[in-house]
Amino acid sequence: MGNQTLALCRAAPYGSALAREGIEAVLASAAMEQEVDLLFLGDGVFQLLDSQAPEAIEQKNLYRNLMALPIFGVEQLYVCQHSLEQRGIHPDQIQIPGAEISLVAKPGKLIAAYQCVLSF
Amino acid sequence: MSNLTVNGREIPLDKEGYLQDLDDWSRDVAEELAHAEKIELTNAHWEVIELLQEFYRQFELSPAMRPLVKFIGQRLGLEKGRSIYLMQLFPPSPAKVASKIAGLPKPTNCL
Repeated sequence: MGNQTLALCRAAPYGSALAREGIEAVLASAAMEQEVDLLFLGDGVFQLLDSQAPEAIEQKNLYRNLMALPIFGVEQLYVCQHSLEQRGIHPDQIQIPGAEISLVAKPGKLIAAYQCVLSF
Repeated sequence: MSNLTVNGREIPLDKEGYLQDLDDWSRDVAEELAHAEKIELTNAHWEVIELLQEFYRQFELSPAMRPLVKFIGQRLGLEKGRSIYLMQLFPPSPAKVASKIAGLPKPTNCL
């Protein structure tokens, strides 16, 4: 087993370019056969909501990009349970077909298990 | 290469030959783009081109090689979801060449 990488997605989808930069880095790594898992926490959990309407600000839909993760071979997504609760988001509201979404109560413990962590 | 003339109309291309405006795409444009790549489009090519466009509508991005192979495999079966098959249709770099002909942007995660 090679280096296992975890990408932290901490930014809201359109407030800055960070969310998109992160997803693009993950997709590029996956295309190069690198194994990457994702952890959404903080405002990053907003990226997972399917009710995004970025056409109004002439942006591409980040959620559509996230839906491509399984076909790029990224199938394990972690979501910080506390971040969801703080923002009033029910776990049923976040679904990515083909990906397994696991709620995490102790993100620190998860992060510590990875050799390489990228933060976006 | 900066312009493509199709049916008397000038279609602007970027420096790598991708459409500047994705709305300019048509089947005639695809034939000309393929011609520039020395590819004669057959039904097998069109099958892949149409799936690429579906991929773009669904995910709003152009696939790199690995996801392209996987997506084609899901839709057309494992016989066609192989890099060697796509390599024969769209040499030398299927993800780039087929995206170009299908009127998609260059795959950003493709080196």
